[in-house]
Amino acid sequence: MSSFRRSFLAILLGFVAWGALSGLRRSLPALIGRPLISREFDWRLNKHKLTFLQLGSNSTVTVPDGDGQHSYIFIFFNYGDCYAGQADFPFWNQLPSKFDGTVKIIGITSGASPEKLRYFLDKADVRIPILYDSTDQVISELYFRGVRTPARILVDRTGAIRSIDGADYGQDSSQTAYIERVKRVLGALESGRKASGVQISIAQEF
Amino acid sequence: MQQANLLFRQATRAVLFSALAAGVAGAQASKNVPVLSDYFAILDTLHFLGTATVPLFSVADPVLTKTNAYFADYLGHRVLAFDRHGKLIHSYGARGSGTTNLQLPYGMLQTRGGELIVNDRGNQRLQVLDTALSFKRTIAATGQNEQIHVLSGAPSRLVVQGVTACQQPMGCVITTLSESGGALQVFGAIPNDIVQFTWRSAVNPSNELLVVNMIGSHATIYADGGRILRTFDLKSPSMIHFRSEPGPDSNSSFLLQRLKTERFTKIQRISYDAGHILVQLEIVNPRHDEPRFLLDIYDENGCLRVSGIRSDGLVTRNGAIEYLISRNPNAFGSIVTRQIHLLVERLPPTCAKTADDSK
Repeated sequence: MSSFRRSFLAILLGFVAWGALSGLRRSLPALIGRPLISREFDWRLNKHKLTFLQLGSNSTVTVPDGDGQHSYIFIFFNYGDCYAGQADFPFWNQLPSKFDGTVKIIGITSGASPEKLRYFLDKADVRIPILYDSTDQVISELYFRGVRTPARILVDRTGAIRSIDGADYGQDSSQTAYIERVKRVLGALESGRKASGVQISIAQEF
Repeated sequence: MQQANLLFRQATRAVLFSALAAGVAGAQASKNVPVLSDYFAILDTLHFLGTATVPLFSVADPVLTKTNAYFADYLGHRVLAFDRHGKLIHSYGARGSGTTNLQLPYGMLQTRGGELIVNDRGNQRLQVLDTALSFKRTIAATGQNEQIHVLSGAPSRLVVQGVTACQQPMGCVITTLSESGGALQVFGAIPNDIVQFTWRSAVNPSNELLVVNMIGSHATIYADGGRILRTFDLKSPSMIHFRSEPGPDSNSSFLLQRLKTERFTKIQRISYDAGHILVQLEIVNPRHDEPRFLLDIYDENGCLRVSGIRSDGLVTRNGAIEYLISRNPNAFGSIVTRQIHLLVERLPPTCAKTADDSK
């Protein structure tokens, strides 16, 4: 192969690699402001009377009560052998009381079986509503977009993602900061400021 | 009508012939695939069946003694003791951080003195119990630890290998502890290696510590004290790698490769038996259309002796136990343990071809 061809090939490969890496880095911020992408999934685990959330087939989150008044924090977690998520359970249990009823907290997880999940929930004292993603599609989709579990995804009442945060490992200071940040983001949206003007941090960036 | 009959007969013949050919091919293929009994003596098989109150779908590696089997139930935050007939005889612990509480107990072992040591991962400590699961003492062990080992010789010492991939900063850290508590040595910190997966470790009778990254392609052997003795490649034909370059951008590299790679191999366990290293692989394959567990055998110099041995479950430490976790026949888990022992004389006398040799 001539040196000219080799150089051309090297440049071409460089462009391809650069493009792929850039795409990956862009993927997380690209989620901000978009609807929470989700497919139909099975949420047969009805431990906490999960009658207020439906995931429509049009890839947007809809709220059956139709009041449009609530934002959501979806907590995506795996409940296997990692303690990082479990250390935050007490914090998740406290979250519903921190936003004057304007933000609903919902956990979403997948796993081997509903029985195993039910066993885990009973033992771990998780008191927020939990959806069971039996097909593993929702969590897989987030994982492939670079979001590792446990992840907290703030969705405003229009269904747009406003922030993605990782685990706090049970640390009070970062949990307090998270609550303040959510209030600030939602408050800014309510007062009519443009979403792009809101400082949104992505705690779990790759 | 006659034509239809003829067609039917021809079709039937074709189907029968195809089935016969497939059967012969399948039998030939399965004949060539090494299985555990080709290289191991299978000494003992025990069965344990989970129930609604004591499910067995979230237990870490078992400890088998002459009379009992012990399981750490990490989602149940307790330790269970069964007799050899599968009857529950003791249960210890409940979720919490108190003296006799457990949080995510992830594995246990038995010391030469007979005490049971539980990796109380969520509480960042070890708990020492007697064989009736009565509390004896705790040993502080910082971090979300992955595996514990007992070193031979006096005074008694433990090796704790952590931290798990879900904790920041990720990487492997090895701590040697006295059995009464207190860190003696810390070594093996690898902050810039592949960070996305947990590490696995094993200790041989000479107190050499073998450490691998679950998705890595090489093994490191440390002397007692932390000096690196040697490294060798783990490149058997059974392994399906994707590359994730070390360095500050290793997470991006990992994710990029993960996006492209549907099938890959995790090193689920490593263990020593009869002077050889057993590398237990799990094939991650969303289609589940191939064997899930394969075992490779290396000698202690890193020479691959046999690759691709099919096993029903994980081959793990404590005298090379194979155990299988299955949700069948009920929804609450069942476990079959098999004590196995490597028959060295059955191994081929020369090194097997590695993945690089095959290219």
